[in-house]
Amino acid sequence: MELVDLIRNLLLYGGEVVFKVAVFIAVLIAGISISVVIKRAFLKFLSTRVSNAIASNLSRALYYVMVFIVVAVALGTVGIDLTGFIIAGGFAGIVVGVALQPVLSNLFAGLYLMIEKTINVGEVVEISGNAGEVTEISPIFTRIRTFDGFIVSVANTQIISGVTKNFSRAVARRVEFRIGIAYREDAEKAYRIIKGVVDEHPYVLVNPPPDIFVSNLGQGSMDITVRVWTPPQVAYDTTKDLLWRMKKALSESGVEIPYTQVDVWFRSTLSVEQLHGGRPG
Amino acid sequence: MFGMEISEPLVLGMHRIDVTRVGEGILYKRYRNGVIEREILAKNVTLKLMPIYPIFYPRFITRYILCEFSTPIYVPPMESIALYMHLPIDIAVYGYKNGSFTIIDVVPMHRLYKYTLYGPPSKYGDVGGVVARYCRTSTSLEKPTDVEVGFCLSQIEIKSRLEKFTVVSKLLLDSSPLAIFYKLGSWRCCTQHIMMMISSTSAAVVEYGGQPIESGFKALDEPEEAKAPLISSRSEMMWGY
Repeated sequence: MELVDLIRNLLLYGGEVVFKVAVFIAVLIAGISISVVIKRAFLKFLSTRVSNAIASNLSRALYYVMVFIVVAVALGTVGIDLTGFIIAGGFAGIVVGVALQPVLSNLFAGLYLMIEKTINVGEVVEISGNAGEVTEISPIFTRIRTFDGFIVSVANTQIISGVTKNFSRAVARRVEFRIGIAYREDAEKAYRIIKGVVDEHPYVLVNPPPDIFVSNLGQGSMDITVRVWTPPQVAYDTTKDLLWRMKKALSESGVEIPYTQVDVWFRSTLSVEQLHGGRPG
Repeated sequence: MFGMEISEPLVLGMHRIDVTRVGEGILYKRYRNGVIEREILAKNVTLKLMPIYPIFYPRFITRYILCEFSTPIYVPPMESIALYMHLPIDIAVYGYKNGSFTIIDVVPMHRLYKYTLYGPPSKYGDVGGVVARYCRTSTSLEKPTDVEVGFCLSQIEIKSRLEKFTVVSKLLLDSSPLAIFYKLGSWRCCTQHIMMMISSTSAAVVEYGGQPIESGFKALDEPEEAKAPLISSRSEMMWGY
């Protein structure tokens, strides 16, 4: 009799458990499917209005919230009381919030960067001494490919609290050269040669005009400073090309670019002895 | 000639262009002083020469062109003055296939290419504004009978709304609303009618017409960088003229 009751109870409650598990899975699958569809639609909607980075992150955040709700609803359908979870969740939230404080501050800094557009993907920037092209702005990190090929990850809080140089936003860039010529050379001749090179260079802007002047009378040379403005896209190429052209033009015109020489003068005459076959004495 | 297929070698200023056909394949070569400067392989395309805005050589940096007049223009109060201008252009080699096209080469037609900054004057050495291709252009009151290859005829009307004399020495053009038209089978090209409206002592509005100043000229297939805007066909000169 007892065995029969046990089997009957098992079948009765087992069927109920199976039914509840089936409902749970069905709600979960349906809910997650709807979340995916909503996420995609939201991403598509946002992509046409804001930057890809913001659209992707916001739609991902919405998806996680929806998944959380779906799981809560699914658990509710099988009769699991979530009140305890909510209380425990409140405490857990405080603990996790404190533990994740740096991550969250980076996350909000990332959102701020995306909205404020201080930097964008593809721009050339210098952050914390790392200069290079921005390859990715994620919610936590900004990745920069430096000019020597490394990928540097900079925490977003560091960007909004530190100094960021954005070279791509410059309307024009100034590049400066210092060329030393020998004192015996004619400075005006050197000026004319340098001016000719600068005026012929396509990427040296007509306005603001180039600035060429003797900037220093040094120990070994007379220094001529050349300041020119150039479009930012070609600043690096112009720097390389212009210095080479100026050096070539000066050398071809016979203007000496001296290397550092030190003349040593002695107060008293030195006695110089010539040695023949060994030490004297 | 503009709009015609390149079928035989030709000389353009300091450049020589050779097109060799091997079956459906095409070998395009451009020489400067006997040295190959550009070489391209393509298949089944029609190559045509077209006038092009002077913004693509040495490389595309800006869509703005700042024309500095060789002769300053004095506009009397509340008056207008119409003049013709020789706008420098380059020559592009377009590749066509089934209605789509691309620029495969730009032949520079001028010796010196320069850029400049058009922006607010600064006391402290800082800069602002826009980088523009710099051209020194000649103007005339009468319509020129002959325009050299490498130049495009443009008609400018300068209108002043000020109650005092105004000196105009430069014009900022935006190659987006600016249009180039060419005469098929010739080296002649022109722009539309351009109106410069001086509204204050430092600002002016440049408005671009829709039709070529010469009848029977054909509109250029606009490259992506200079596609005409859908709404406005005007640009502004905020930092002096």
